[in-house]
Amino acid sequence: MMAIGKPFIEGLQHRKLLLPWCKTCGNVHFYPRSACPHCWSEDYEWRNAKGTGTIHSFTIVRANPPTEFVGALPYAIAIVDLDEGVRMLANIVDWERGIEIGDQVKVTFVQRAAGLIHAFRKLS
Amino acid sequence: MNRNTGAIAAIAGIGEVPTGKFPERSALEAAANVSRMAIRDSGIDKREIDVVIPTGAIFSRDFNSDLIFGRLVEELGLSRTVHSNLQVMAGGASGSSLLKVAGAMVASGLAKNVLCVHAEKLATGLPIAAAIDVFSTLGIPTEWERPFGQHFSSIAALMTRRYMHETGTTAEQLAAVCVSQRKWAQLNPNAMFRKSLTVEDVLGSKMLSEPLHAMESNVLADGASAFVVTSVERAPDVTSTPVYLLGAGGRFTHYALSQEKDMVHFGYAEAARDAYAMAGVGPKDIDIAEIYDSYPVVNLCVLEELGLVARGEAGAFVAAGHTWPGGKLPMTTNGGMLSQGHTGAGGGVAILVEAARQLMGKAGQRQVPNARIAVETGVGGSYMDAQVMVLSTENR
Repeated sequence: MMAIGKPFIEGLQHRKLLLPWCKTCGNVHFYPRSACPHCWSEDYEWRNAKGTGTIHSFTIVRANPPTEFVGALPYAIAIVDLDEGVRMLANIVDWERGIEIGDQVKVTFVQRAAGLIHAFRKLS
Repeated sequence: MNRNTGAIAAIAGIGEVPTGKFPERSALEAAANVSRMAIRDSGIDKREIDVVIPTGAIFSRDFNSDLIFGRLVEELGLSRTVHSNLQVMAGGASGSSLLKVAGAMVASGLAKNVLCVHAEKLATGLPIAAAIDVFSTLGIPTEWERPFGQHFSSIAALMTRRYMHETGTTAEQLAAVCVSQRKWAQLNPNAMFRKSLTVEDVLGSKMLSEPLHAMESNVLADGASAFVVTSVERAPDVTSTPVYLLGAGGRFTHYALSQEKDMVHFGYAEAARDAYAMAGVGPKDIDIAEIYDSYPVVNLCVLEELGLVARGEAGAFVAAGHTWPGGKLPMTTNGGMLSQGHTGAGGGVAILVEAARQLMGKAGQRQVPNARIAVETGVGGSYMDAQVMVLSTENR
């Protein structure tokens, strides 16, 4: 994992979804960059996200995934618009109950070999 | 932005070998063959080729290094007459990007005649599992998308789902793109897949990533193609069938798909606006749409964003047969990567070569009668950069 995203990854290990907010222009961005992509300031702070968002699109992967995901089939990938205004890609857990574009989701954390990683779950 | 001040450059010759599985054919011999074909076709003496631009090959680092370090120049006997050998690589946008770079070089006088060439061996040049693993995750962020199992089928699925949501396009209409492509491929001796195909076949094929079916996904192939670019002034002296680059436009919109603000439309509308303005033409002037496909949703998006069909109506347009052989808007007439086969960056080179072939009147059984103006598109990575070229039989 590159150093740029290290605070984000460390946050996940404490079940926190952290976003980089620029202290110069006030904008938030994701994924983490080497400087604010809006104003190029390197002065930003990591703040806890609300953890809620909306599904922009999603897919259920049923066959022919990358080799290391064969054992995970079937699985759901979604593009989620966080309430803070940034977009991120992650898995959806418990998708079998049905998910649709526009569904509200909330962050959750799942265990992987390399540590905790973020995922989303439909808000009921 | 340039106003319409005549053509930028011309394509004088083309070459291509069949796409498919060719274990006995090395990438080097394929590259050399298509280069000789394109140079012979151009009517230009080989000693007059002063720049060679190979695009990137993915199957082998060694072969790609050979391309970068000019093995092809030596293979073709062009040492000392060639001034520069350099690589231009933009994934599926490589055909368009090669033409932009080569066109600028001949227009500026930095080059007289440029050979643009591609060869790839994704079907038989490495183990199939390795090919799929390498190719299906190229250019997908290692930290931010791959850990979630993102790969090219899921990228296409995410785009397709959103496109269907916003436009109401049906699964049958998406499958009709594959049928249209196949009808053209059946007339293309260089295509990998030439058996007839129905909407039912497509929808009955295995579900990869919902809503994307296996037959809506391209298949990795071996292939090679090339074209020769010369100046507008020189073109009519060397060939009776010059193809002029009238306009070019592009928009780089994102690296990671999850950072694309509009994964239904991308930057095609802006790119097309620039290309049409430079060319001094509009959507109504287009005789053929040579759209880089890779997945059906891309064709539908591009038909709409290039102004060829109203937004949200491309699915019905294709399902009605308007893009088939004999239809009012021939589309992706080599069969595209869905039927000709996916040769990496070569998919973008092949579609550009096909656009030139049609305008040269050399498309054989699938020749579109009286084709004068073609629009060609390319796009690389996870649909990062919409590239739009306007080509014509006339310098106008």
